[in-house]
Amino acid sequence: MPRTRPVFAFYLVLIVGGIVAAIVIGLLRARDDPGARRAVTRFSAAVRQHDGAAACAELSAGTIKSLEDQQGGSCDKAVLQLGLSGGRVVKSDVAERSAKVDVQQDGSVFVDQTRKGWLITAFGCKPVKARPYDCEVQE
Amino acid sequence: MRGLRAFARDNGLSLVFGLLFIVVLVFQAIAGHNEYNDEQRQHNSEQISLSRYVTSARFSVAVLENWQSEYLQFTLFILLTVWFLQRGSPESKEMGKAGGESDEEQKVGEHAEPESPLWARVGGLRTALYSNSLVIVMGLIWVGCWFAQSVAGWTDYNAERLGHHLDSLSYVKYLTTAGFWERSLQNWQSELLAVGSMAIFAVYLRQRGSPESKPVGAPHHATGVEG
Repeated sequence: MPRTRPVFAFYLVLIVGGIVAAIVIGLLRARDDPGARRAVTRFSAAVRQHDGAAACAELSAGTIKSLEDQQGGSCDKAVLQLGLSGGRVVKSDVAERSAKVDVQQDGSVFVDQTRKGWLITAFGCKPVKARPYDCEVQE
Repeated sequence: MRGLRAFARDNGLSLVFGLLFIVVLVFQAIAGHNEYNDEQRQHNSEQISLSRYVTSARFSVAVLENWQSEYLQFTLFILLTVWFLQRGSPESKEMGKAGGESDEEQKVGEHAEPESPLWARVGGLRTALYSNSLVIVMGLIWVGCWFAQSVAGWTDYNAERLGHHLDSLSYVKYLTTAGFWERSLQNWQSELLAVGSMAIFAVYLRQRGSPESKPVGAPHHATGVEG
């Protein structure tokens, strides 16, 4: 009989390990990531200091293109024409590689994690009931 | 070497299933990773590595949602076959034997045999616990897997919501979403169909040599007979 015990133990460890791993991964991937906050903090600070180039460095390529198409000029000029105040980050919400960061006065900012770090994919976003946020600029 | 061979022979069924599980899990990870990256391409988003994918909430929920339904299936099967019978099925006890049966039939307490497990012999709470240990463990695994599915599913669901510029939901709110219940119910229904059909198919159909079947020559009405 003891010859079957290692297999019994193997299955139990495998199952319990799988359950624990899934719970830990689920919780860790929902954990606040300071990188998302930092990207938005840098963006806001650049806007406040009228440094368009620094602000654009925090935007994804798609967002830069949308902004330039929308405003009809280069990103570093266009980003300063939107009337953003460059407020303080008040809250962030992360799940996996996506996050929403709320900024005082400027609404919400959506950011995605990429190989280059966290990049802004939409900003100046206002909530709309039961619909996606309405964003001033988005990818 | 002889010891290893004896070990493999004694555990053939568990070992083969364990190995198949690992192989299939690896293929699931590869296929899931490709599918995830296909989705990323469609959304003009960055692709991720295989190691990042297997540690993602997406992969965790995909694995655990199936685990939980399998353990629910077996928990229900173990529990319901105590009281419900199926005439002619090798998955059922003999007709008229519904219920927990007598101590004598179950070889517990004073009816235990010299080689009976200790907890079957001692009586009291330990014997009561041991008498239900299979369903307790399978049930706990089901609950654990379902909880793990819900936690990983919650994060995956929120990642999608944030990606679509929607607010994330609290864990409790996620448990009331159609998404969570659809993931659970789609698995449960298939398990219930498979078990129900197996119980009745085995009345009329046979697999020579399998304990899940009656002997090929056993009559259709013979119940509780294994081949």
